Amino acid sequence: MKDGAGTVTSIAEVQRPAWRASTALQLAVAVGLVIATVGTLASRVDIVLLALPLLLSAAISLDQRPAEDSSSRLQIDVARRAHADGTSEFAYDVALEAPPGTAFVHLRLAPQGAPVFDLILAAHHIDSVAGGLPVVHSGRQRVVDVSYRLIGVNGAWISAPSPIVVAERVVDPALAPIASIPLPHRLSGLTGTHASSRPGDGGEFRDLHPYAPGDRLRRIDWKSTARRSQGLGDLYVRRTDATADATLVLVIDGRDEIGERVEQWSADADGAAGLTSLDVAREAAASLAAAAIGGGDRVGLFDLAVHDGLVPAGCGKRHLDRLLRRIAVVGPSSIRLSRRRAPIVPAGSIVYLLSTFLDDEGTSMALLWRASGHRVIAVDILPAPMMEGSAPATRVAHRLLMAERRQRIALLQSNGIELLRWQEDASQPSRAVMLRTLARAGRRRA
Amino acid sequence: MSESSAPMHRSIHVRLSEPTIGPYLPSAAVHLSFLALATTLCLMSLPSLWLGVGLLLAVLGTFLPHRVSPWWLLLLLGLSQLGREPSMTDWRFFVLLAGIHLLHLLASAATMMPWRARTQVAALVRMVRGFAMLQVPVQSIAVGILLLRPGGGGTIAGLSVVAAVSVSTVAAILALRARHERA
Repeated sequence: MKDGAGTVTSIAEVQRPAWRASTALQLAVAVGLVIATVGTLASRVDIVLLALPLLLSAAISLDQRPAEDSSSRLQIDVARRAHADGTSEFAYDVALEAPPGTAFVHLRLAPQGAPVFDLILAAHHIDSVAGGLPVVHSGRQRVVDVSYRLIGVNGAWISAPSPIVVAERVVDPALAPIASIPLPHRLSGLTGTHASSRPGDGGEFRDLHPYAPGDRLRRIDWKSTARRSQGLGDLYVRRTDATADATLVLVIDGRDEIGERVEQWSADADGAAGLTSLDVAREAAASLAAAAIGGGDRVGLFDLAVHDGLVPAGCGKRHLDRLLRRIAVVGPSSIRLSRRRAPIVPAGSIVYLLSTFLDDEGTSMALLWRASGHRVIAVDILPAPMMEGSAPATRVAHRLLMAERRQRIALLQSNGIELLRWQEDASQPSRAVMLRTLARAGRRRA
Repeated sequence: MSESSAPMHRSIHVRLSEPTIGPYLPSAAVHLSFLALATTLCLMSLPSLWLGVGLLLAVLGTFLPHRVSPWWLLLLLGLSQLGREPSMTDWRFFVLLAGIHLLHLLASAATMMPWRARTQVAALVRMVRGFAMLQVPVQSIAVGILLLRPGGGGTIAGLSVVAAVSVSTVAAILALRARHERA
């Protein structure tokens, strides 16, 4: 579900548990019968009495066997709570209606990024198991995974574990303010908010020009004609520049999600902790899209992680909403796509490639777009690495990986591709300054 | 949009709140209670020859609750009564009567409870209540039978057979009723 403050996502799952007798029940009956038999054979009533609680306990358990056609109902509510300090958290609430004959419930909760909680609960006390976790990532979030097992009276009956129910939310990325946005070298279109170098309607004053066939009569500037005309038939018209729009294509390399903690870059690591490359990518893409569409430009989106990940270029509020929804759900894909050709982007557009540049795929795509005449800006989305707790071998591997990455980035820059590092740090100019510099560098009117 | 956006943190430190389930005990308490009770009953009831076996079964039952060792221990404790004469004044018999039952409940619960789990106190209260509700009549019957027993003999063949048949009948009736309800 799309996320919004105050909204509550509810997931309800009805299961018909498959009950079976536990080993404890069978062993209680067996041990009880053996003790009772030995006591009978030995004519010892005290020994027979020792079997009594076991057999009575088993009999009560048999009597209270849960019905086969009974069902349980699990409900998970997830809400988003905003705090005064600007942070927010997911609050989840799990409720379970257990069928008659259930004594305990073994509830297993796996909140995102937390250890698994195994809870043994009384069956009549599961109307609200509440917990919370902070919202630390954008995109699709597995808030909590829930599964359970029902346990009958005296542990004599046990159900098969339920399927895992996943409560998910989609968190919109934050929008960074962007004052200047780099545009294509050549603008296109006949209307828009940018001044074009072509003469036409709608733009700023260009020059005064002798009237030529085809000029509109209402463009004749009579004062200039009176001042400048040499002969009776000379007329002068005021010419203006045409307007044009720009097309931006945001290409997100969402094939991998790399966290800031380097020791978790291993393929064996379970998820990425801390700030991730896709957190940065979503924020960058959403901010660029909002700034460009706010400026009247057309924006398209392409996700390298999926085969048909193209949102065609468009403009307007509805298109921005569509883009933001798509950006919010960009996630790593287990499918490895190897492209021989770069995805086709509109002619004259500027391509923003958001990638970690940890492999050659993004680099080769960027070079192909540049070779076909597009202005390409490589947006570096790799979070600043945190090396705490890394083994020496990991540090060496990281240095090698970074050296390869620097080579790729140098190759891009030598081919005229500009670099923008999205995550701000003290070693470089601020993002706003870099964007302004790039916007000025590319200002060449069509 | 801004209200529902993820914060732009330089680095993220996760703070989790744990699920609230009311008063609870670590499930390890159930496992360790089994060990403590089993050890106590072994020391109380078993002759020195079988004490090592009983303690070994207690330890195995604690750390491998899914195996049958807890119920082998129950059998051993039950049969240990063969070495003692039945007597109204023998407190160990009554402790054993309650202990075997409680060990069975703890062993059953331990098979369901991972060591790292948290057990709601309400779940334990329900188990203890069921234990008490069964022990009250069982202990009363035991006292009554031992009082009725002719003094000193220790063998009441007829009464033991009647007790065994009664137990079997109660179990059979309850089982048939359960089957009837299912049908």
